[in-house]
Amino acid sequence: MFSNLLTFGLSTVGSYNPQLMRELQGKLRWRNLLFTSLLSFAVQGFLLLRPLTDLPFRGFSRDFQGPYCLELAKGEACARDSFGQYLVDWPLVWADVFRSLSYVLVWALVVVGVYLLAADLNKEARRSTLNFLRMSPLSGSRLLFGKLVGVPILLYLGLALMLPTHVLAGLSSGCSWLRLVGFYGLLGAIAFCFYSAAMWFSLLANGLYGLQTWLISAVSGGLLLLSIVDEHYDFATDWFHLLNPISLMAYVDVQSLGWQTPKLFDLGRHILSFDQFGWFFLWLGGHGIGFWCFAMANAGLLGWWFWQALLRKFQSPTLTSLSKVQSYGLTLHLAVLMMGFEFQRLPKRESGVISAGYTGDDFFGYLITMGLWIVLLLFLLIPAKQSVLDWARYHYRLRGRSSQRGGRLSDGRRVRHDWRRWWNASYLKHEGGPYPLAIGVNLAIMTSVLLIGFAVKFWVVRSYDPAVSVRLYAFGCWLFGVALYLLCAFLLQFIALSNFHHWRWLAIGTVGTVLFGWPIVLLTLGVGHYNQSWSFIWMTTMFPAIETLNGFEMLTSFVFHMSVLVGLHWGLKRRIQFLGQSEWKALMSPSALVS
Amino acid sequence: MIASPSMHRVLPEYDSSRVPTLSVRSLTKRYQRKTVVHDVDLDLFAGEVYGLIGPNGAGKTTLMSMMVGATPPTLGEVWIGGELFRQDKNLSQLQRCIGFLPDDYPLYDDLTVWQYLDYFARLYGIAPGVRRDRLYEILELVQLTSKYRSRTTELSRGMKQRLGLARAIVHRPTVLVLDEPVSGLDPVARMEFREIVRALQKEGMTILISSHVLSDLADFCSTIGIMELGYLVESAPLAELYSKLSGQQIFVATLGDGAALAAELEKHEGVVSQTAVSSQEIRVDFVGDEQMVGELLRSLVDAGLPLRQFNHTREDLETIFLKHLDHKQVS
Repeated sequence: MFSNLLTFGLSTVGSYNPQLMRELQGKLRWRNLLFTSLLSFAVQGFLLLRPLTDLPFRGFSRDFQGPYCLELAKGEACARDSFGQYLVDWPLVWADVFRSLSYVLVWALVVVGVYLLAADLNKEARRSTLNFLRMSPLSGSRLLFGKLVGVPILLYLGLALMLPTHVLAGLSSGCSWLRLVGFYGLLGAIAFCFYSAAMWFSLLANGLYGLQTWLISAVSGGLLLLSIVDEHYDFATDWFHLLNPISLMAYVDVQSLGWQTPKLFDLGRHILSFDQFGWFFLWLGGHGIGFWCFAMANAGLLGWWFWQALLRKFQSPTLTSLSKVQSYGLTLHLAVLMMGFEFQRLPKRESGVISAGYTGDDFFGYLITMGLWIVLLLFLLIPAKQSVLDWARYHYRLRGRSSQRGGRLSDGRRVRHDWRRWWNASYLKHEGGPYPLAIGVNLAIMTSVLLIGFAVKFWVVRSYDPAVSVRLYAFGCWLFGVALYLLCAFLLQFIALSNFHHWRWLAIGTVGTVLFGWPIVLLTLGVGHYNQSWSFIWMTTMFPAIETLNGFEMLTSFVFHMSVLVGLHWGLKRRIQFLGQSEWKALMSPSALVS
Repeated sequence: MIASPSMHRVLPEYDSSRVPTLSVRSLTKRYQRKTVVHDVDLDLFAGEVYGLIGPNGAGKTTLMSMMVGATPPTLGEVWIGGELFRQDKNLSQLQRCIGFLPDDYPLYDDLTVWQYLDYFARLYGIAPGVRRDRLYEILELVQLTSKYRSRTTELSRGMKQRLGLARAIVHRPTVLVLDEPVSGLDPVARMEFREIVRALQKEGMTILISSHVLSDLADFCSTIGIMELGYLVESAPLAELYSKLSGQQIFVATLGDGAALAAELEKHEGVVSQTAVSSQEIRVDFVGDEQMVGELLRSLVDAGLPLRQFNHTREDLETIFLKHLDHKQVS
């Protein structure tokens, strides 16, 4: 009977989404279902029984002491009522169960789900079945949706079996239905975000031979961990709180939920001061619905970006991990998000005076996170050599055609190029176009958000704002950093066009050396940041010693950086022109097998 | 299907009056500054079985991969049923016309044979009303009806290969592309496979097949293409290829006078040459078709020669291929 129902159900599902049916068919077996149910009930049983060890039971002879006593009698023992029964704070008992189950739901859904999805895609890629899916007429979004729902189906079932206990514990501890529904909604949105990111990463890092599965699971677990240990509330790391629906618990009466006594390594203590959580001085930490909407928007939007990137990588595995246009949108999203948190950071003063070495500490987190993001983009956006060669060949031919005809059509009319459109399509959007410009656009977005942040903060919190010179220092540091990131982009493009077999490792080494190795070398050689005679060398690092330089030295540094960038741009242009020419000749020459 | 930056070369005309099922024009692929497939033009018509042969690294798999849309070409066009194959426009529509069996025919080990085929039938949107019948029909064709409840892991290599073939044809493609389908199979499995391909050919399916087992190809291919260093260096109907490239020999033994036999054969100058004579046996090189062999035999009999044996042999596809390779290497 059940078997027939299952077959009918699977067939119905298969009519809508064959991929989902395939995943369910492979996983919904008696043995798996039994094991999942047993595990789920075992976890629930353990979490239900755990508080019982702290409760008095009938026939308890000694005076009972414990965390769940409603009142304490003489000698710190638990008080009894007129019938001799101990007065136990039952909502607190349920609150502990609710909290433990919430942790299990969040961690299992995110970390285990991420692992299962990443491992499944890795397995499909390894045994070449992913190509069959790509070549089938079913759309990529339906295929991936089938995977998203189907691959972790046993996990979903196991957690679904916990829901009745979770709801019961939540309601018994004083949590409202609305808050519970909000918790589940946010958990779903966050899981979608993590899952999309995990599948995308699994596809783009399939050269790591399965290591990517563990890596992405560890990163997901790490993010969740950071979300419950961070207590800053004026730093870029506040973003982590949005990735964990446990934060919603802050709006329940913390006393009744027992958050005031976190037990396991103080995890979740941030909840106690969560009302300080804000974004652009909007105190979302004190407003449950506001925080929920904000967290949902963040998870939904991030999930959407990752989903788009995943679709692109799934359908065309040879393309870059992100399209250039996607990178602009994602950068804007992250920049505004981070700026919102950093915006609230107020400069620390010593005796009412901002310290001399202060260089915009109130945007420090923004600069660091944007720096990390741009380093990531350096690798995500770098086009494959073949794409650049195809692009170079095409542009060589295009230039050749224009010059051959003297820019005129056969009837003598002048060829009208829509240069702006061509330039946009080639450099700003096209997959194979050289990518330093795309990195430049991303940096420009970050810089614009930084400038707007400076200006608005100056206007909003003028009384706390540091002097203009401090802002200029901070901005100058960022600009020299931008020059360094662009330098890395040019170097990486050269490396990608080289004939090195393991060019990716060389690229990682180069970026590491330019950004981090060089300052370490300077420190090792004893060239300090504030060493007046040598401090100008620090202008070539990620940590420019702007405050120690005079105007002339700064101008010289600026000219030096610009000269290097212009030189690299010219060299890259020549190299690509040459490659385009040789590619065209090789392709058109009937005898050229190897150019 | 074509990479857009490559549309700058004048491609050979596509003849719309006689529509081939599969047609490629100037198909070229460059990887890392090396041309792996160079300027291939090919037309395949309904019911044609095209055998693609060539040494390892000749570009066969890349060419097939481009034809089925798994790899974008650097230059060139693929037309299927008179429609241009474009990744950005009609990819899914045209993918329904193609069946592809790669050389490793990967399977899902957690599914049964039936579930596996049912899954792909649904992926290709086969209507529920006909799906069941289609699956039974295919299972019968590939001789796996008795195994429909078995897990794919329980199948032998030959069965797995036939299941892979069943997957490739489940949606009734008009073009079937098979990359090294018989590699690693025993003679019985190869024979079974040949039978299936013949059956598909009778249904009017256009089949492109690459293989190193040339005797198999000679058995059921109507046209043969030889690829080398990325070039399609020969492409002709099998009979034409034999008459053009295959050396033929005739062995004649007589009970009578060998000299008389030699004298009679010399009268057929231009058809036979390089006479090798022993006392009563002669071996000659021969140029001509089957009819001319018959005419030669008739003339010998009419001349009253007491023939003991008359054998006509010709070089098989493997020898032609090896000779071709040898010639290329020398040149």
